Amino acid sequence: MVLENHFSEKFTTAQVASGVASTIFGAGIVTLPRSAGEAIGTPDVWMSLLFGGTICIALGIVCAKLCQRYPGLTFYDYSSQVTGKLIGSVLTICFVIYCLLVATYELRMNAEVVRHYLLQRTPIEFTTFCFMLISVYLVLGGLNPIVRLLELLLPVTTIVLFVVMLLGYRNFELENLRPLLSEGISPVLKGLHSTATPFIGFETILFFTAFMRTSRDASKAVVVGIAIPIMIYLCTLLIVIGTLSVQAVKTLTWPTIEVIRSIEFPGAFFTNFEILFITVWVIEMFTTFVVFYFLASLGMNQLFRTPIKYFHYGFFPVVYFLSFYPSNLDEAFQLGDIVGYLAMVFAGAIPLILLIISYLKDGSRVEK
Amino acid sequence: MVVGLAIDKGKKKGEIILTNQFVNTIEGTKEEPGVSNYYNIKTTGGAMMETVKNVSNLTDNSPYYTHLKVIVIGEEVAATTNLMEITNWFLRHHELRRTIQIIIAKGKAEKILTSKLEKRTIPAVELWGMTQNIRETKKMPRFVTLGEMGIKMTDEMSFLVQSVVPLQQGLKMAGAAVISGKERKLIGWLTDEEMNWANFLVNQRKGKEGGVIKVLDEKTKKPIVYNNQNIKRKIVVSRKNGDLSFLVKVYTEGYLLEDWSLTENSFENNYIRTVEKQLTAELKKQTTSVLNKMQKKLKADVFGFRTQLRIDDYPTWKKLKTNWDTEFSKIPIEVQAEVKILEFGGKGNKLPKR
Repeated sequence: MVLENHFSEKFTTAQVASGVASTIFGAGIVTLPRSAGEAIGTPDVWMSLLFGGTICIALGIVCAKLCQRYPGLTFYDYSSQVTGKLIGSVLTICFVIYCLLVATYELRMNAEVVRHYLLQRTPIEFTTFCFMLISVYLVLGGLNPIVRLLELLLPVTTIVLFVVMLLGYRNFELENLRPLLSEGISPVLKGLHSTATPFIGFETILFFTAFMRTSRDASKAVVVGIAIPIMIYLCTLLIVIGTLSVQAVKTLTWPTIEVIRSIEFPGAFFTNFEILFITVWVIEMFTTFVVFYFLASLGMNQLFRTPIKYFHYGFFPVVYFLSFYPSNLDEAFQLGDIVGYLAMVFAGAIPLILLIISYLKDGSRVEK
Repeated sequence: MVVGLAIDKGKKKGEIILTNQFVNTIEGTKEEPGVSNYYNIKTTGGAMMETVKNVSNLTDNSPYYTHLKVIVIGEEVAATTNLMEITNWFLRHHELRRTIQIIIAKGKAEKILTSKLEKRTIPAVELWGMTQNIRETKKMPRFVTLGEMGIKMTDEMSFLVQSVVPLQQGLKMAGAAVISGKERKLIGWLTDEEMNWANFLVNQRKGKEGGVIKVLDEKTKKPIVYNNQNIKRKIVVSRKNGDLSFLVKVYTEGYLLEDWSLTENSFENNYIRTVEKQLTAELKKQTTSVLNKMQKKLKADVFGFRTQLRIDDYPTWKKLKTNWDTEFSKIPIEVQAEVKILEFGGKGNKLPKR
């Protein structure tokens, strides 16, 4: 089977869970407070996040269940089994485009933050190029090194993110989060799309399940994989809104980093915590990028039965130049919105429809 | 490396004069007398960034703002220009930190950065150190950082900023400048004496300690000084028949650390109680008068009544929020004060009991 060329040993549940979690962490953490603040407008943003996270967990379980019905197969294979060859191929190509767009967006966001906070005079063409070189180097190694790296990096990054966010308690003011539900529950529900999109990445369970040692545990892996980001996002939102107030959050480009930049210890001796944060954050961007890049190549490989290496190299210029398509920051944020809407389709609607069709077609066939 | 900035109004309309205080890295290390460890460069321009860029025409050291400590805004600029416009560049530029301290100067801001200090330290650094002294004295408000100022102006919240005056030699933190949230301009001043009491009305998240209450003993007319250790302030919103009113509960506890009267006897509980009563009466009188000034004269809610109203009675807040500061001036406010003396130090009375 072609799929087996991509990995040498099957993954444990913990590896898959950390894989899902690392894929989810990405651009969301720096833009979430503003996009959620704009969409909701009251300090109850964190409630909306909990709802959004719960919905994503449900969708994640749908994805896992779908994949479990076809052991050893990825989304690219079973989509044609469920819907027929033609629609399956179309779905594969659409999914590849979606993966490329997510990768592009992450790449561009990474470049923008690095340009604003770290390397003001370095052209983003260069920072992007370096970022891609390292990523493609890892991708060429296959899926095993990727997942092992994700498993290695996740604890480090999670701990650093937690610690940095908790250091922000000094400027935290509870009154900025009160009163609860001042405008009722409706803004919280209306803003759900803004708090669900940062969870883009859990749909990777559509693929990871196929490589799992015990694919029965796919649901467990995806629940844990989403629960970790929920906790970090919740912590981030509470600290950021509590520090800045929801009105001011709407006016800042990178609210999370601005909050971290305000952390100072007495006498201004310990400062520049944003260096710590951005380092870890770039790692998280890297892990997200790598996974989506690999999935895009894998899709083409499964479709055309051509060595995956060709696509790894082939997508390099595509993603590289695509990331400069947004000519300014606003257009880059718009790309993020587009990616968010596409995610609703590819992570939400399509797996659900496929699962229903699959049930109708094969009945409740025993999961192997 | 720039450590201090002073913003003043130019002669022409809309012109800004910016004084950059550089650390003299070349000569500063040598301990020669007569060599200054800082130098100032003055530029003018129509907008902040333009003015800043003009500095590079005057020196080989282009300004680097990561270590900027204080921004001093001149009285004239603060009173006539929207401060949101002035601070916009600072909040956008990546080099500036949101923790920079903002101070409003009485008179020209430039004079603050050029003032002569006996210590021969850099004025901007000295000033930055002074801004942190809220734990020692209550005669100035807690410092306001650039980031906090941005948040308050976005929220249309009135607030207090530390203010500084130049002396013959040195500087003095003198009370507070009152910034209106709606206009984002300087609308008045609180003297340091008034500030001493205003601090009891502000929600003190940090710097609850420090500050004194001085009263004259009723019988002997000798001063008694109380040193505050902790302030708890609570605002109660009440609505009776649709009429909104506030009750401020101020509670402070601390030490009785100076007493000039010869007949005192702090070992006796009754004596402590009578002193507490006097202190409470003084606290209530003074805080009420400051509150009156803020309500009737300046019409600015700098004490956080709006926050409490928003939390307790959101529908009313929503109705009143567009013109909050004028609405605030009409709402009756009652002050309830309580002073508690925890201890009286190492000496309880002057003369032994006979």
